[in-house]
Amino acid sequence: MRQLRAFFKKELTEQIRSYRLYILGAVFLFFAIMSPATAKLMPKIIEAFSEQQDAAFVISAAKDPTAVDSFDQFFKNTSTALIVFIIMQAGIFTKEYSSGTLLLSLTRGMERRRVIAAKWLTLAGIWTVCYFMSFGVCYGYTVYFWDVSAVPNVTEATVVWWIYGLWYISILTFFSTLINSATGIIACIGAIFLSSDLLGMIPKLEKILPTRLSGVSVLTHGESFEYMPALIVVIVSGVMMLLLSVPVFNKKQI
Amino acid sequence: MALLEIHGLEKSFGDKQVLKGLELNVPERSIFGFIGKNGTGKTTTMKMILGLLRPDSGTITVAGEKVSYGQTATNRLIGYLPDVPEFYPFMTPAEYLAFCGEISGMDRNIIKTRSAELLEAVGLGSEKHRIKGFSRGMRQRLGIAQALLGQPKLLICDEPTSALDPVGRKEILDILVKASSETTVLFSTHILSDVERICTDIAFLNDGKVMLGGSLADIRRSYRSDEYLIETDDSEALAALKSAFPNLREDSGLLIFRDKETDPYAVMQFIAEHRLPVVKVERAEPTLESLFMEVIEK
Repeated sequence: MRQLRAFFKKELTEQIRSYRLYILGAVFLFFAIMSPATAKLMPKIIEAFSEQQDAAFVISAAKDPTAVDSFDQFFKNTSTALIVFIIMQAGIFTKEYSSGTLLLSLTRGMERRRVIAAKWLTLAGIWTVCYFMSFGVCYGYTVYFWDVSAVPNVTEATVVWWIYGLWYISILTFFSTLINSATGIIACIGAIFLSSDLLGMIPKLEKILPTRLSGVSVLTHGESFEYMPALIVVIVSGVMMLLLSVPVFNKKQI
Repeated sequence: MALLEIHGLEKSFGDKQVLKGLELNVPERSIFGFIGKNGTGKTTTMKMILGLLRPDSGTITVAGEKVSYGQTATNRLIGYLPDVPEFYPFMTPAEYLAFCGEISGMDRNIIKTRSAELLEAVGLGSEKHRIKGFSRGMRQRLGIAQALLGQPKLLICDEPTSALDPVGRKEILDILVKASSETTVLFSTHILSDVERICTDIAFLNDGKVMLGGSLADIRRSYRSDEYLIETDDSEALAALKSAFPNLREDSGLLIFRDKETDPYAVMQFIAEHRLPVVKVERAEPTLESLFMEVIEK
């Protein structure tokens, strides 16, 4: 436990002193504010845009924005924020391989599975704090602008999306025990996302594929959305990848 | 029993066999010089002692305990300084040592007193800056402090002096000598003068095997050079000696010969009989370098 705590503390110190924590915080905050702002301003932008166009192109969008639009924007923006998160954190293991800093810790008797645990907890912690802070800010603005009581299932959608994010952190961790370059890890995560997205076009598979969870925001539209099979797949595969990364990491030559 | 014992160690990388049945015994409380040219497998051997590389065959024991690859329990007995030590650059030396102590499960109070002591000993006692801006010598010194933190039975240093200037090298050697009062030191190097300065025991590694090993004093004795030097400032004496003993070699005013080819007593008798003025007749002390060359050429 003490090893884990010491290593976790080291990870956190690194996140703070390398400014990564602040940058990610700022990115998530920016997207949080952008969500209601975009929802609020979008009709005006479209309107201004259409005035300059021929009448034939005028989009008859001009429906008033609601809280649902704001949340829709939030989940869309969070995808982008998650990409930033992954790119910034992809080197959390590999940097220690190439610099040799991990070597010294391991030769001191640091247990490898605790390295995995500490790094996963760091990432999961930062994701959780950034995500819910972002959601809180977005929610606050949305309440300020619109009536939220009409929006169903916000909590449900938010929690499912949060787990979806944790799934990517587990993938990142797993591939970090296999691959020595951050670029390679990003490429693998991208490949997994793409293949899940593409396979989703097959109707039979659609409901069980992880990327289905990114569409969970339609719950806030009051529509029914079956996400349970995909959520189970995500939780089971996420936990399995974490468990599997321990023996893989134990055999890894560092 | 030796503190570190290696038997029949073999390792190949691809089709290149680096170690071909290495045998090594490091006695307790020795300063052991592990000598070899670059690329002879010194680092490979050290990494296997630390369980960072899997040997193809052979066994390694530290204090009687077998070393296993991966999760290596014997590492609690070992302090390790890699050739280019890398520390978390965002920490200060004191923070880094505290981190090291925590992950090796040391008592908090001991961590505090011991790291203060060690940082003082390696000359980083008042260093409050982050490791980021440290010079190589400073990193090397912090590396030794880090390695000694857990009071290891065995301190392994991979070429600790190779990248340093003469002052930095002397500092490191002094620290190693100091450390040897409480631990066994194994360090690899290709700088023979460092070995001559501090080592009690050595092993010459060449072509994947230990070509010559044991206590430095024994080796010097058994390899006692058969070389003699005669110095004279008289050119006639020089010429007379050379014509009398054709095997004498002239090298920058000195006459050099081996007792296998020329009997030294005959030479001295010749000098006495002809009353030749000589400055000195000397039996040369073998240098490690000459030993090293001899061993490699065999």
